[in-house]
Amino acid sequence: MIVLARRSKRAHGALRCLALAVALTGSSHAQNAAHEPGVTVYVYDLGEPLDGMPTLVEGQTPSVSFTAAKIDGAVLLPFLGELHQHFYGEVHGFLEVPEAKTIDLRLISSGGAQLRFGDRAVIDAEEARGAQRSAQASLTAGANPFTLRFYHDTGPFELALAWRVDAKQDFVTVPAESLTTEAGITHVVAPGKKRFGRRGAIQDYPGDARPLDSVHPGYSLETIRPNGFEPRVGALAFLPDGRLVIATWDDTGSVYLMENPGDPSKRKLTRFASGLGEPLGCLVRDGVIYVSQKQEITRLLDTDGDGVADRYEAVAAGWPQSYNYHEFSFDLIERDGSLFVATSVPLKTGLTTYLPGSDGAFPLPNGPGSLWRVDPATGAFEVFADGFRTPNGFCVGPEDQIFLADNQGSWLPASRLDHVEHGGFYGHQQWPTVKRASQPPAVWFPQNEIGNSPSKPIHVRSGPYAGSLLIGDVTYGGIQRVGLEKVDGAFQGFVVRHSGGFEAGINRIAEGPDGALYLGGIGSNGNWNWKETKFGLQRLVPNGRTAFEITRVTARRDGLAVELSRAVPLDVLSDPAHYSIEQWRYAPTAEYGGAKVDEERLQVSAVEVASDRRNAFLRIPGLRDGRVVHLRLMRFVDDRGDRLWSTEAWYTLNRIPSAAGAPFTALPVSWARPEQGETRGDSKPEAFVSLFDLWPLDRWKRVGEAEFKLDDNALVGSGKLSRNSFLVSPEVLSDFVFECEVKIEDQRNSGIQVRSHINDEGRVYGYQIEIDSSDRAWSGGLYDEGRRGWLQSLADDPVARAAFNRGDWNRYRIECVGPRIRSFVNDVPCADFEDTLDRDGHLMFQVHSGEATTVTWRNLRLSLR
Amino acid sequence: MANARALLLLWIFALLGSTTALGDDPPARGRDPFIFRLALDDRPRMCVAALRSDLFLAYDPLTCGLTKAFGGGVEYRGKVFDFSQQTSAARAPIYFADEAVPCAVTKDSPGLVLDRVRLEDAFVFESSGSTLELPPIDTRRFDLLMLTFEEKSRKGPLRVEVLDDTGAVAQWFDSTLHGSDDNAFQANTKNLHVVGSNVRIRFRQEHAEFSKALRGIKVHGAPRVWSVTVGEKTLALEPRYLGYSVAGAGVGRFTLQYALPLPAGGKVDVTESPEAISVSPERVGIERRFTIAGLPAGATLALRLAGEAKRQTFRVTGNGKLQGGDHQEVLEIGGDGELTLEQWWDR
Repeated sequence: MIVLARRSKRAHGALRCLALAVALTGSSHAQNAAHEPGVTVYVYDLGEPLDGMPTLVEGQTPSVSFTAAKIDGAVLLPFLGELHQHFYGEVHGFLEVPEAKTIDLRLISSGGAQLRFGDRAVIDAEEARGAQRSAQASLTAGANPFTLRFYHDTGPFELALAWRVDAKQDFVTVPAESLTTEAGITHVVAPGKKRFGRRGAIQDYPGDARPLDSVHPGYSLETIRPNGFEPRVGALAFLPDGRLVIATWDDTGSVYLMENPGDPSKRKLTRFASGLGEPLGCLVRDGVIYVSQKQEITRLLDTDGDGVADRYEAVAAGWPQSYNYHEFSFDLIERDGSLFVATSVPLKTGLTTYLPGSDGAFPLPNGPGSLWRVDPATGAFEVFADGFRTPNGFCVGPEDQIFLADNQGSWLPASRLDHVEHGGFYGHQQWPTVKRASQPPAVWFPQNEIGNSPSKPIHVRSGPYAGSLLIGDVTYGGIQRVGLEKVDGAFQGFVVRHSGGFEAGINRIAEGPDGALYLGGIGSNGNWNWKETKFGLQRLVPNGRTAFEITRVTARRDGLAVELSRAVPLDVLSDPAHYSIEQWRYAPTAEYGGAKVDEERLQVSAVEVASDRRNAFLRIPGLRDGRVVHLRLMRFVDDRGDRLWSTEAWYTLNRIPSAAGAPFTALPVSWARPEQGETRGDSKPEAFVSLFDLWPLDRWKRVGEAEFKLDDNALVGSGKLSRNSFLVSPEVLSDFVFECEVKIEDQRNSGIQVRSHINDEGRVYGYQIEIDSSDRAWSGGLYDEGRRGWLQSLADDPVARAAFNRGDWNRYRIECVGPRIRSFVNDVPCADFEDTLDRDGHLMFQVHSGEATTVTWRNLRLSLR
Repeated sequence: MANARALLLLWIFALLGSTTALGDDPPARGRDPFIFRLALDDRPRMCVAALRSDLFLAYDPLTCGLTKAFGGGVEYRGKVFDFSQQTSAARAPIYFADEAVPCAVTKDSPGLVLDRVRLEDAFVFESSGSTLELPPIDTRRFDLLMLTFEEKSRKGPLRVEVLDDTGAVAQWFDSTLHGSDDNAFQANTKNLHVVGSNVRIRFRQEHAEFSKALRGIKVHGAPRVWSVTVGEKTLALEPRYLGYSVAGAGVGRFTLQYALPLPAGGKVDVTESPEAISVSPERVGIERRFTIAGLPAGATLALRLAGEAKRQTFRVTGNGKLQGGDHQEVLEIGGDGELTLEQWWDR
C-alpha cells in the first residue's frame, strides 16, 4: 500500500511526482491471486485413439472443467460424465507444505502423465501406459505451483498423485489439505472434439486450422508501454490533440494519457484519473473524457488545468445491477447524441445465475444482459436491446448501425457478432426454461476455431481493410477480420484470422489519428487470458505490404464467392479438390457453449475463376439457410509459391441470396502457369515480385546512419551524413531484373547497388547505378563503389544525361544477366557494361553523405532470371 | 460518576482536538488512489475514501449516505484485486455502520421458525415440506434489498417465498441448480421487492429425495438516509448521485455532489465534503461540510445519522441542528446554506 506523506503546499509538486511515479509502475497494490482448496482440472475430448502424450492446438477451451478436492481417479471420474476414453487433461494447483523439504512423489496414470513444477519436469512418463513413476521433488515452504498433464486412451481411468514424507512410510494420495488452486476460476467449457497433434507434433501451420502466432505482414508491431507500465487495458480512445487515453482494469482503476504515442522519442505517460470501478469503456466527446465503470458513466474533468482530473461527474448511474462479479459495464460509444453501454449477466462458476420465480430469473431482474441507451444531458437510461451474455464491446459500423460482440456460454453455443436493433433480443435467455425468439447473429465465431471471447470491434475507415470490422479476442488471442454484406436486408458475413503475435489477448483496439491500430491487452486468472498473459499496450503500423490472404467471402445463390489478395495459379484456384467445405448450425441451451448440430461436409462441384485469378466462385450444392459455412483453402499458393496467411473463413449463412450474382469473366484458355523465374516481357506483372513482399523491411540490414522506412509501400532513405549509408538486402542475387521509380531533391546524389558486398571493416563495395540530380546528370551511369570508381560514366552520352527528370519521379530498370549489367532511366538506355569481377551480391539502396538528403524509391519490384 | 467525568473530559479534549487539524492541508491518505469505487460488503458501486490509513469512509451513491466508517482498511477481493469472484470487505475496527443488514441469520437467531429442519453447522433440509422461516423484517427503509444464502447440493431447488404484511406470498423464487460440485456450498443472491414492516422469508423443500443445506443467510440493502418534511408529512428521498471532486491533484479534499428530487417537484442540490479530524488515540472523527441549495421555504431536510457504533457523538455548526436521542440521531436542515457536522466514534 502506498501512503503519501503528509505534506505542505510547497511539497505538493514533489509529492505529485511521487504519486505519478507510483502510478506509472501500474498497479500500486500488487495483485496476489487468492487460493482455495482443491485443484483445477481441464479435460479435453480428443475423440481418437491415443498412443502418446498429445499436444493440443492452442486456443481451445476444455470439454470439462472443474475443481476437485484431490488428484485421485475416484474423485475425478464423476466429473467426467460421459467422457470415458480418448481424452487429455491438465491439473493445475499448488502443493502446500509448511516448510521447505524434499519429498518422494509418485504419479500413477492409466495413460501417460507428466508432473511439472514450473519449467521443471519432475516426473515424466509421457509414453508409458499404466505408468507408475516416482521421483523426488524439493519443495519450498508454502505454495508450490504445479501442472500435471495426462492422457487416457481406453479402459479403466486411473490418475493419482501420491507422496510420502518419510522414506520409511508408504505412499499415500496427497491429501486435500495440501492442495490449493486459484480461487474464483470461471469454468469455461465447450463441447466437441478438440484438435491436437501426436507426440508433440502439430500438423498444419499457424493460420491453417490453428491460431496465428505472428504479426500480419501488412503491419509493423511496436510495444509502446514504458518500462514497468503493465496495463490491463479496459479502454482506449484518442483526444483531439492526438493523446492516447488508456483506462486500466485493475485495482487502481486509472485513466492514463500518453502524449505522442506514435513517436518513441517523445512518448510521455501521465496518470489523469484513478479510483474508477473496473473501467471498461472510454469515449471522448467535445474533448472531454467519458468512461464507463461498474454501473456508471463518468465524465472526467480537469478544472484547474494541472493535468489531473479533479471532477468525476456521474453522467448516468444506477441501472439495475447486483454485486455479482460478472455484472460488468462494458464499453461506451456515442451514436446520434446518445451514449450506449452494455451490461453482462451474473454468473456462478461459469453458468448464468438463475433464480426463477415471480419476478424474473436473474438475481436482479430487468437489467443485466442489456445494451443501455443513455441521454447524456439528463442521465436517463433505457434498455435499447437485450439478450446479451458478456457483451464486451461494440461499435458503430456499416450504415451507422451498432455491431456488438458477445461471448460464448449459456445460450451462446459460440461467440457472436450481433447487428443490434432497437428492441432486439439476441439469444441469452433471461429464464432457464422460457425461451424468447432471438435474432440470429450477423457472424458466428465458432468456439476455439476463430474465437473464444471476442472483445471490442472497430469499423475500419481507411486503408486496405476499409469497411471491415477488426475485433480482438481476450482468450483465443489476436485480431480477427469481419466482412459484412446485406442479404434480403439483413447483415451477415464472414470472419477470418487477421493477426497474432501480440503480448496479450486483445481487449481493445483504437484507430489512431496516424492510421495505426492501438491495441490494449488484458488477462485474468484461470482461463480468462491468452497464454497466461495479463497486460499489453502495442501499436500496429501499416507498412504497405500485402499479405497473400482471403480478402472477402460473399454468398451467392448456389455457393460462395472468394476473393484473394494475390493472383493464384489457375490449376490451384480452379481445382475443387483445393477447397474443403463444412456447414452446421447451432442449438442454444442453458449449458455452457453448445455442440455443432447437423454437421455435414459439402463438395465444391465447380469453380469459376475470374481473369485476375484472385476471384473464384465455388458452386456448392447443399448449402442451407441458418448455417455456418466453414471454408478452408487447401494447399493454396500464389504465383510466387507463397502460402496463404490464413487458410480459413467462416461465413454465417443466415440467408441464401436469391440472386445468382454477377457472372465472372472467364479466364483465357491460353493462360498457363508461370514457371519460377520466368520473365514474361518487361511489364508482365506475374513475373515480378514486390520487393518488400519478398523481403519485409525488418529483414534488411542498415549500414551507416541513414534512416530507412516504408511509407505507403515506398522506401524513404534520409539523413545528413558524414559517410555514405546503405540498406542491404537480406539475401544475395545473381541474375535479375530490378525496376523502381526514384525521386530525389535537386543537387543530390544517391545510387542503387547491385551484386555488392560489405567488407570486413563494414564498408560497402560493388556496382552502383548512379542517381545524380546535379548538373553533371550522370544518372544511370555505372560506378564501382569503394573499389574502382567509375566504370561507365555518362560524360559522353548526352541522350542518357537528359533522361533524368530532376525533382520528379524517374523510372529505373537494371538488368543483371550473366556478366552484363544494363541500366535504363525513363526507358532510355544508360549503362551497358560487361564485367566478370562479381556475378552475384546484395541489392542495396544508398543515401549519400554530405547535404541532408531524402531519396524515395517506389514500385520496387524484382524478377529473377 | 467518576467515569462520567472522565468521559466528559475526553469529549472536551476531542472537541478541542477537532479544531486544530484542518485547513487546506489534508492528512496523509490511506491509499493511492484514496477515493475509489468497488463492491464492498456485498453492496455494488460503493465509493470509498481512505482519508487516513486508520480511517476509511464508505458512501453508497444509491442513497448518498455514509454507510460505514472503519479503520482496518479493505480486504480487497474480486477480479481486479485477487482474481476471485468475491466482493471486498471493510476490515475491523468498524467505527460506524448503518443498518445495512437488517437480518443475519444464525442458528441462535431469535424468531426462527423451523419445521423438520435439522441444525448442524448449517440448516439441513431432508424431507418434503421442511421449512425454515426467518424472523420478520422491516424492509421499508431499504433500497436494493438482497437476500443472500449459501446452498449445498445442486439437486432439487428450494422454494423461497417472501410474505408481505398480510401474510400473502408476494414474491417467490427457486434456488439454483448450478454449480460445479454437489458437496460445496455455493452462494445465491436475489433481489427482494416486498415492502412492509413485517416481511417474512420462508425456505421450503419440495423435493424430499434430496438433502439440502443452507448457511450464511442474510438480508441486506441500502438504507435510505435522506428525507424531507413539509408540514406534517415526511417522505424518504431518492437522491441522484452526481459524482465527486478531489482537490489537490488527487490527494486533497473530497466532495460528493448529489441532488435530492422533491416529491412536489424541484430538487435540492447538496454537496458533502468529509475530512478526517485528528483527535485522541481513543476516538476518531470526521468533519462533514455540507452545502444546501434549493430547499423550499417551509421544508426541512433530514439526514439520518444513527447506526451501529460503540459510541457516537456529534457537533453541528451552521445552518442545521441535531435532533433525536441515542441511536435516533438525525441532522435537520431548515434552509439553504452551509453547515458542518463533526462526528466522532470510539475506536
